[in-house]
Amino acid sequence: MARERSGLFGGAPEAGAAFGELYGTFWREGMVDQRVKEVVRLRNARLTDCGY
Amino acid sequence: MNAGLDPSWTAALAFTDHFLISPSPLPGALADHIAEHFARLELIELGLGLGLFHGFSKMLMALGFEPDEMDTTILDTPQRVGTNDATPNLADPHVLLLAERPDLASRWSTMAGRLAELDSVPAPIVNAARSRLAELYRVDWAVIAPPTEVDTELLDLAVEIAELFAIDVRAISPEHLSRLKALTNDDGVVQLIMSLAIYDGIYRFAATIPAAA
Repeated sequence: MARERSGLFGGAPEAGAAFGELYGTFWREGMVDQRVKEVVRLRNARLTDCGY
Repeated sequence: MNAGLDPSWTAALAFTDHFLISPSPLPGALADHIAEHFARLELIELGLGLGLFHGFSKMLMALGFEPDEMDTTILDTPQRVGTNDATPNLADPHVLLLAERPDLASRWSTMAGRLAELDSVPAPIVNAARSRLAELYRVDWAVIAPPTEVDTELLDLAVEIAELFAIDVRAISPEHLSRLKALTNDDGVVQLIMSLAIYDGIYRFAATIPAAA
């Protein structure tokens, strides 16, 4: 699940929207199995020590 | 340790560890292992996604937006929100890295373009900061000469923040951000940190995934 990002992108809403479109395309229309993407996302969170 | 994992997951994890810990050309054995499970176009997708995960994780950390400090509004799983079929700007060598996947290249191109339109931080300063990332990741073609005739205090601060973003993002302090805000404006912090997020990802990609033959 994505969390609300409006605060994150603050005064750059168009750039934030463009990020959302790229991110959405990556998740929904890609060639790689979504389970693999989730494994990679979790590994990044672990190695980066990021709570997201 | 990985017994029971799908072999493609093991390969993806090995790729992730290399991409995040030591972004550099994939060693032969690792490249072969990954190629057993992912075709080149899939690896491009995975590398781009990993760059996004990593860059924006660090953006959240730098700005103090980790989950415990975020609003708890939950949105649906991300999905395509537009019909951006714009032709990617292949004159930009960053976009060219993704040219084999025009669906991703066009959207990355749009994102970078919209970010470049912001003017809270002067372009030469942003470019110098991203050049420092390129230098750290040994992406030589993206390293540029330092700008002249710019605010040297802002330049030094932006480059310092870029270094910390690459090496130890948690060392970016509220004081760094306060100084950046004072030298630009409220939006300057988001502009610079978001720029670092997308270029950190694309330079890791460039350092790791070989260019098209």
